[in-house]
Amino acid sequence: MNLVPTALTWTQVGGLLAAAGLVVTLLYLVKTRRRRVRVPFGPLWTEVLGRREVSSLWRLLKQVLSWLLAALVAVLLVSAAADPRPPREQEEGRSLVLLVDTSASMAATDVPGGRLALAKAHALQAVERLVPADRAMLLSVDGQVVPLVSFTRDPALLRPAIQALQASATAADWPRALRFAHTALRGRPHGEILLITDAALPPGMELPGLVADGGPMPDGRGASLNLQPPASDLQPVIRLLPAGPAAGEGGDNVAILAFNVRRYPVDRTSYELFLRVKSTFARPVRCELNILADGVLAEHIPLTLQPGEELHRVFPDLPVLGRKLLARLVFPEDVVDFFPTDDEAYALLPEQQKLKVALVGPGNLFLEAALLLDAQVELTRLSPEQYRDLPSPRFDVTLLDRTAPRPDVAGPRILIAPPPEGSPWPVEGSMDRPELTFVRRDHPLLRWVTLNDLNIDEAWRVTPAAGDTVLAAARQGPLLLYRGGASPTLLFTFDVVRSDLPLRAAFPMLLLDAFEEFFHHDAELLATYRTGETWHVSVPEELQEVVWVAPDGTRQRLPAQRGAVAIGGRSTGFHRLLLGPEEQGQERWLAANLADPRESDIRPRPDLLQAAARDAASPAGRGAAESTRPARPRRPPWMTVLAVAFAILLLEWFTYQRRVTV
Amino acid sequence: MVQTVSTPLFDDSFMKRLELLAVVARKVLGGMGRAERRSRRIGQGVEFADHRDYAPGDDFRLIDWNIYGRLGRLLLRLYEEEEDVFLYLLPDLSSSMGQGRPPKWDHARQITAALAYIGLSGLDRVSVVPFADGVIDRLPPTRGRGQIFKVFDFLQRARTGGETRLRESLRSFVHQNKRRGLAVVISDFYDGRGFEDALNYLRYHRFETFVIQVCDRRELEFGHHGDLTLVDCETQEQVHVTLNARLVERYRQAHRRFALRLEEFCTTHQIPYYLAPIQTPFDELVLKVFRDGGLLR
Repeated sequence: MNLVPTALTWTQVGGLLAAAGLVVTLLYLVKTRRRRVRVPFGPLWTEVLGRREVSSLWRLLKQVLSWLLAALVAVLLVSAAADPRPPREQEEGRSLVLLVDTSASMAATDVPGGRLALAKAHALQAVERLVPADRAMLLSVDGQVVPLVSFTRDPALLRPAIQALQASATAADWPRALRFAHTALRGRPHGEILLITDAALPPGMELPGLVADGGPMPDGRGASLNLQPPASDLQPVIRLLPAGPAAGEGGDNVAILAFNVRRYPVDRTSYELFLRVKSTFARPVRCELNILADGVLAEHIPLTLQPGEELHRVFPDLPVLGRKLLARLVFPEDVVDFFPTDDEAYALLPEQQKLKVALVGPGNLFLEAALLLDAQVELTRLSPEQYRDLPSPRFDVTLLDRTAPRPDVAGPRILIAPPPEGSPWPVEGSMDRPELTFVRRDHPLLRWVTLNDLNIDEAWRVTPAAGDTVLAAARQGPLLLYRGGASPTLLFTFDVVRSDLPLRAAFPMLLLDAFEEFFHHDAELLATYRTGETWHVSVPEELQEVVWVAPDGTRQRLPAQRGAVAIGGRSTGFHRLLLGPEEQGQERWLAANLADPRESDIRPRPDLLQAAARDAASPAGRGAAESTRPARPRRPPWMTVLAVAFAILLLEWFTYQRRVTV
Repeated sequence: MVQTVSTPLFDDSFMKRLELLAVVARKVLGGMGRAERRSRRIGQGVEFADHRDYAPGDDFRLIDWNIYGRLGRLLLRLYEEEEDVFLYLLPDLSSSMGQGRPPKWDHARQITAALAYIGLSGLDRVSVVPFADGVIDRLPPTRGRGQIFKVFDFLQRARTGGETRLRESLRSFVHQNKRRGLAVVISDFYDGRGFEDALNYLRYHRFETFVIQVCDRRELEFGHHGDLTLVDCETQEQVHVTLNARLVERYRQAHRRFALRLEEFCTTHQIPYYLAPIQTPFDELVLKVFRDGGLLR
């Protein structure tokens, strides 16, 4: 059999042989030191040895035989290292790229063992059909396309990688996967791309190599497709291997597509819940939605969904019982939901932070009452003298009622009719019974605030500076003024007691809006993150690095740049960001859901299954399935060479021990 | 000369065994009185030995008048001379006797001490003359059981070493010791020049010779194999050999032939021969000697 070295060049083989022969010869020529043994009567030994028939030629031949055996072993070892193969194998091997779908839908259980187990079995079968000349590459396809094993002839490298595949909670990026595969096979003859997937691709997703050859499918999900045959030998063949239920089977799923919560701006003890649920069952299905807050069942909502129905529901006035909210669909025993990944959704209520508010003034019951409405306000009452004498006031917000602010104290503040001598705005006069003529209704400070027909007895007349925002004004001048910056300030140019503002619901709302504006407490909807997307999370600017703890406990260090961290989340659940040493408790929680209607639709596309069936029935497809069984054992030649070398070593050892070659 | 340190051998248990041997020896000898051993010399003893014809000048008192009365012939009565028997013990002190653990020299010393004790118990004069490449030392003839401790001390002080030269050693012995007697050679007889001439020296000079060949069966086992350099412990001659089982078997056969040759020589020349492997207790050998007679009469 004609063999050529594949791991070494002929020059390298020759060099190794020469070096091995030299080493063997040198070792052979080196005389070993004989052991000295004292005997009581040497003449007896002389008599014994003198009787031996010494044939110098035979002894020489036996010594040369030992050298020859050692040299032969060295030659065989060098040959094995060169990995000799028949030249024919080099030319006819395939280059196979295995694209295994590991997207969220592969976690469906509508086939025995699950779709991913079926995909792994297909992949292993394809690996077992490799002949020694074939090379195969393995990629997992979900939100990322990850090459797990580069081109190799060794099935032992592919098998464990296939067994280790796991489904993620992301959608599959097939276009990128196929581009990757084409790039990998560029220039390689006999290329083949094998897509192992449940075919639950979004309708309308086009794949390179898959062309539509007919009209739309009866169910409206995509057009009839065909696998495009390669245009040349250098263009790879694409094959689709379904790893899911047959067309029209499986796919029963009720999915939580959206789960979001927000607190009420005024009543922070309750929250509002937004939910979107869709059923792909072919029949009406009943289920229950359980809301758990910090692991405790908070709400239990029965649902009934018609086939294909998408349900939007808002659940108001839910009491806050915890921060981490989990929505879970529970099905009766006679209902089997094949896709459990989207049966749970996660959400986080914003953290409640108590505000330390200082109320400085001679006394104002209306102000105090308005502030006490907010349970998150920690109120400290101070007289102007106390405020003046306070060594270093540290409050989140300082509300100064008819009191001049201290220039040495920074931070957010609300000024109500400050005396002219201490006012940050120069007072130019007064306005008698000012009439409200302007209201900046779109400003966040005036959210849910109505100032219609506001009666004010008297107000100071001030001129706004550049950058100030006039929130409300009379003809003569501003009544409400806002200035941002390091010490954001809301200015009332009038004494609220000398108006009917405290009697309105707008008054406490205005104060709360001011607090929100100062600290950006978001009372809007807090959206969760979607798996498969890159999450940009803001962190303190001084941080260089954070630790990301996934729901399964795995940790990863991530760099932080300019107060932001980018995370490629692939799993649903509560993720944690450690912003410092864990014992210090500085952390931020994130909630992530699949929230992908296309991925939750786990029904395989009939057009793709049809295309796969047609390809399998075609002569080329049948040939690909049948012809790749190896005609002889896969064992490469170098293993045989190594076995022969080992056998010769045993023989040489035996002859040495039996003193045949010594 | 190779020095080999000997270990104390003559402890209380050894003394007890010697006593036992002495008792056995007395029984063998039939409970004879003092001066049990008789020399073959005709002398002035009281034991009748023989008759001879009267010659002018002979002592009239020796005429056997009973014979004259019966036969009418004048015959003299001859009596055995009562004299001491000299027992010479010649242990080999060469390097080959110091090989092995325990060395053959220990066994040879025990045999020497046992025979010395028997001889001293029988009121023989016992002398110990160790040799190697010549006569190394000499314990002068001594008599009496109490002298055994001198023998012990003498044997304890001896050190092995040197080449085995039997002929030179025994020739020196013969010339140094005029009084004839029993000569017991206790050796492994590993002399490349042979043993025949040496033993003949003793015979020719009318020493009653006994041969006790000390051997160690472990020397025949020879557990080494492969490429070896064999060094003679006495001559330091080297032999390069690649040893295998076949060669070892040939060595064993050669050793057996060597021992057989010595035995045949002794048998042919009526020299009592005893093979004394160190694996056999010394008292067994001595008892064997008693059973065979010869050394004790």
